[in-house]
Amino acid sequence: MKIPSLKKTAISTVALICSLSAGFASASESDPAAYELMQQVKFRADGDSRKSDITMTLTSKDGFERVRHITMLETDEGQDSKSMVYVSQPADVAGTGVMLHAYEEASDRDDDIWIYIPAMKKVKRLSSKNKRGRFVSSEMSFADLERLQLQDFRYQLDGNEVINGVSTARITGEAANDNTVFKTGYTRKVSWVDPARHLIIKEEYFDEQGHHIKTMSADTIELIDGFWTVTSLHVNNVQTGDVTQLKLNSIDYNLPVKDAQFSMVALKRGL
Amino acid sequence: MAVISKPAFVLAVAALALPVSATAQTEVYYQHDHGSEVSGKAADKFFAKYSGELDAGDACVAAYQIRGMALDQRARPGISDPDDQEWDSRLEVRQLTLNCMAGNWEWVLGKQQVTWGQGDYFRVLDVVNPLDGRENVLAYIDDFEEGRLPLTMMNATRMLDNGDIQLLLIPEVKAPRLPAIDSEFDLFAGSPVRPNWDKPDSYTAQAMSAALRYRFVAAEDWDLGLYSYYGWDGEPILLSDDEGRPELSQRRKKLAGVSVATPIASWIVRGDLAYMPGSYVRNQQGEADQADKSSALIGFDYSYSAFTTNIQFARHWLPEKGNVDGARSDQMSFTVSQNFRADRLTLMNNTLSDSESGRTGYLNKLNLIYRLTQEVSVDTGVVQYFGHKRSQFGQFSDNSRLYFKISAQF
Repeated sequence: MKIPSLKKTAISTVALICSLSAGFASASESDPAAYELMQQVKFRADGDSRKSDITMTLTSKDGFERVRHITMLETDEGQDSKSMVYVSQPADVAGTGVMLHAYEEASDRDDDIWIYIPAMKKVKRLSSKNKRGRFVSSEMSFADLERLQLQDFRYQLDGNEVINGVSTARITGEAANDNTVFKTGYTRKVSWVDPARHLIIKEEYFDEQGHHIKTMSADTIELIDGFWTVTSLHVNNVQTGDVTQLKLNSIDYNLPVKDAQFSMVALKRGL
Repeated sequence: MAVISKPAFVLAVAALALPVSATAQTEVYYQHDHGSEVSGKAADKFFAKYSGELDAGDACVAAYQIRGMALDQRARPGISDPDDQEWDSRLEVRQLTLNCMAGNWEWVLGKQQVTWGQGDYFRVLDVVNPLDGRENVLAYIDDFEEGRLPLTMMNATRMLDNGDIQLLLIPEVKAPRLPAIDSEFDLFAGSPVRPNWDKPDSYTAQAMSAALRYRFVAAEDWDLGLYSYYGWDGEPILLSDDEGRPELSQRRKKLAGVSVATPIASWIVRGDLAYMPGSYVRNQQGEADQADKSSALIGFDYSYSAFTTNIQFARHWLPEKGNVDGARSDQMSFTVSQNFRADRLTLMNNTLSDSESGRTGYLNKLNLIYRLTQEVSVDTGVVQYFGHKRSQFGQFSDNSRLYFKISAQF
């Protein structure tokens, strides 16, 4: 099942972040059926590399609108992955780049994250322990940009529901430990998974007080180069009324990529 | 660089409807009654910048940035009529480079800036480009890019499996830019004789600078950098020429250094260390002498949701040697920032301090930025200098001011 890289990272928000040390949730702590479905989501076939062009529209409750153009390049190296996100518009954030090197969960190794800030002309390392910050002011956090980390949540299958005509499995993920909460800001996620395409169709996020923060909804899904691809989605912050809309303008799968494209030089240079 | 008049600058701004990335900005500083100052406008600044890229073959792009800036500053009090204004208007090419990728090599040829090290605000390893001091450090702490002077150079980087090696060859020599004569930050204001510059001509074999950096990741998450620099010192020494007139002498600088950055718990810890053997300094006789200087910086960054903070401490040593007096100076910075309303509103405070020989001065800038539209933002706040009157920042304690800035980016 294919979710474009976009889906794996920006779009789907299926993902949650790499974890910190203390107490991992194991498969045995999750409902086996739910865990298996989430594994299928995480490891669905989506090519070895992906390059996406995305338009992100941020609209606040009072109608204030901002538009960001983003290019994303990702590659898989076994269960490790590397990704690069580059903002080309608008001018106040143009040239900003984020590079993420993520490692397989079993390695117990934290992600490496660097950001290039054009006004400083400098690459800076970021901590992967806390990914609550907004990505280019959107409703998506750095946590949402990361690959699904199964160890961060304990999954429970809550039944089946039809969402926009799609039969889905409703899965509740409870944060496995305090580090996950600190890192993501989420104590709970509820995901509606399309078991046929291994896509998350909808996902709700709950904060430390258990309040519903935001909902991600996949709006359109297309088959591109043989891979199921979420081509538009929106994230609605139910507490503020702000909405972030992501539209996938183009995506190329299985591009030849080089290590040099995921270097600090490339981060400064842009995609 | 060409000096232009204010009208010409305005025309240049008006002509800027080009299909490139552009920034236009104006700032007004208001001086309140303080010390020897009287209320009134302290400074204003008109600023426009255009940048873009042009394809230059499959592997290359040409990148450019042009900046026009008109800076109007009040004259330093006690020197001349406080209503006098000192103008400095310039139209400059800030970047003009040919950027090429060839295999694992990146070549950036032309006028550019290069940033080294992990320090912010304090330049321990960031020694390649000299600074523009016309507004003290105010422009620099706002935007490091605007506070540096670009240099023409060859910048070649070889990408490796786990890092890169960068080589710089720099034929151009620039002195740091001093404030306009008798303007509010002019350290020589009122002096009957202006200092001469003693610096080499650019583009000669004798003027060439060379620099090397090896950057890599060690032990999984330690970003390390090794640096060497043989170039010109961005901090000239004040001497006297043969006729007894003050002279700012720009001398050679040698530097070897190390930088590091790594996550520790939820923080990023970063540091720079530099050793500068045979640095030129002014000795007890007021002459140029040489001594081994060194500098170290440690910084801590933390962010939690919309809140970020960073703290830095830097120390600079000059050991006593022969006719050279020993000296030690410390610098600190503390920055906090909080975003509100989906990052539409930002509240930020920067505090910098400098301490030498028991004299400590401070610069504090509190500002509030609000994004009116995607393109337009307003920024207002207060800048305060305080502390010992003979310290780096405290000497400008009469220059505290309120400011208002509006900027548009397209």
